[in-house]
Amino acid sequence: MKIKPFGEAALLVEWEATIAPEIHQQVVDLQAQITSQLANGITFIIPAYCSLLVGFDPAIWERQLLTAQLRHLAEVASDRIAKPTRKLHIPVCYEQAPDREEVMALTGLDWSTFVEMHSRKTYRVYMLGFLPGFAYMGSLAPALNCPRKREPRAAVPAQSVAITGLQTGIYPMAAPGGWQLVGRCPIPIFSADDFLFQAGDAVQFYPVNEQEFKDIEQKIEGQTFNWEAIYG
Amino acid sequence: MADVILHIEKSGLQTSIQDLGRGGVQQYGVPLSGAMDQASAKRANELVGNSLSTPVLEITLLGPRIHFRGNGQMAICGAGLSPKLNGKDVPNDRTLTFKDGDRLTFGKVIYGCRAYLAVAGKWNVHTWLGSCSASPFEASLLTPDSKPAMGDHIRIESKASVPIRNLSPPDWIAKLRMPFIKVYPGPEFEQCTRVDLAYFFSHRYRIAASSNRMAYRLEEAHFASEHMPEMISSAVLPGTIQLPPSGKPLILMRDAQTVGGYPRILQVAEADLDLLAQCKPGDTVAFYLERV
Repeated sequence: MKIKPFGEAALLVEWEATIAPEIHQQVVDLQAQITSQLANGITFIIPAYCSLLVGFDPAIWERQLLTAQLRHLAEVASDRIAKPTRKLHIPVCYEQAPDREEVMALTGLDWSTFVEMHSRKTYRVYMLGFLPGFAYMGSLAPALNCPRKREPRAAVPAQSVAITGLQTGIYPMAAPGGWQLVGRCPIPIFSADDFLFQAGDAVQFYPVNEQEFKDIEQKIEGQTFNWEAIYG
Repeated sequence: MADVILHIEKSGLQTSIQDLGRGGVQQYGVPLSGAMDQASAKRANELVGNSLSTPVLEITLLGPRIHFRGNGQMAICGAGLSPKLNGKDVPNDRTLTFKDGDRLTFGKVIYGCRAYLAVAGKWNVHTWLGSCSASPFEASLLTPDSKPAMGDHIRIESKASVPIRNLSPPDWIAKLRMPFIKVYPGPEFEQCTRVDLAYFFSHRYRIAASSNRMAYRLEEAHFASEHMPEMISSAVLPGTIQLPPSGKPLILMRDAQTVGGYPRILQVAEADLDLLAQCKPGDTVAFYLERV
């Protein structure tokens, strides 16, 4: 683990440069330690695959002192049992897949096999970024590896489920994007001040048909949706 | 106290509501946003007795036309955009009084790029995640009143007046003739070649026309990037200078995303990010390196 200065008011903690659950667990464990132990004078924390950026108020924290504190917390975190991960079960309608033909051609899989493989594995949320609430999840089975689209779409519809490389994610809002669209999620990815995903979450998708998709949408609109069910 | 209404008669080039930004939610991928020149935004609020985090109008180069309903106090700081109240020149950096029916207009750009209009009182505008700043994404949904258009009204609950104050012109105006931007080494600084760094720090660069609140581009600036190892995405900040595979550095500004996959070669000093915000496309800037 290395700690580097990043401008005047932030420290970058870096682990081995690799995408692996064991490394990422150390990132979110240190994040949890900082949040519970050092609330005062910490201005922001940005976790990523194998790094954590910690912003601080220079009026409260001296850089050397915070560096030492972060080292100490990382050691404490590694001694403890890892922070329990939340597991989210997210419905996906794979019938709403604008790139179905292209993905079948690229992977050589028929659609039911693709759906089975995409929804079988439990993914890890490595980081949020690109758009508010957009979770980078991985890793896909290598057989599902598809390149980005040659021509990015000007507007990907909100709640589209997308893949590229060994990553998958859900567009929280309409935005330009180049990932392959393989389904749509009836659950909003964020509400006014609440985000569905956070770094470290475990996520598994389950297929729903058009009718079930509409039912969930209606329940959410009518505020009768059982949000606890997704954490089942 | 009576309300003040800012009736927008013309929106100007790129007028938006900003405050000090949406801090502390970057882990959800939410850009920081907020006034590009934070010091000028704070100064304007100070002159009208508002808390420093009160929203302001950020006005870029071509100003709006605003018709006031109700009496109150305002202040304009930042760029010199020839503000006029009912056609008569009014100064920047001073507490100003307006009356019901007055009209505020802007004219020629004298210096800088972004002016900040503070109006005394509590602004009745939408807040998202603790900030009124225009969201760079889906602004019409998330911060519906943050990009005022012709015919829009901004309602402000006015408050007791403060004594009129007159501040001396800020010292960054003199620096605009030859802006020298202080930068620190970024996390991937060591990947730059010595030749590229020596060249970069001994030349001036023109700010490209495509520069905006998300990023500034520098015409003709170039670094070798072919030898740089591919990077796993990691956090970025306003002021981070990234090097995409094109070799053309990109200076991230307040509306930038929170993570990126390009080497972060340099980091602009906080105070000089405000100075950079006052440099407009076509202006030339130079950089100097300091260790943190």
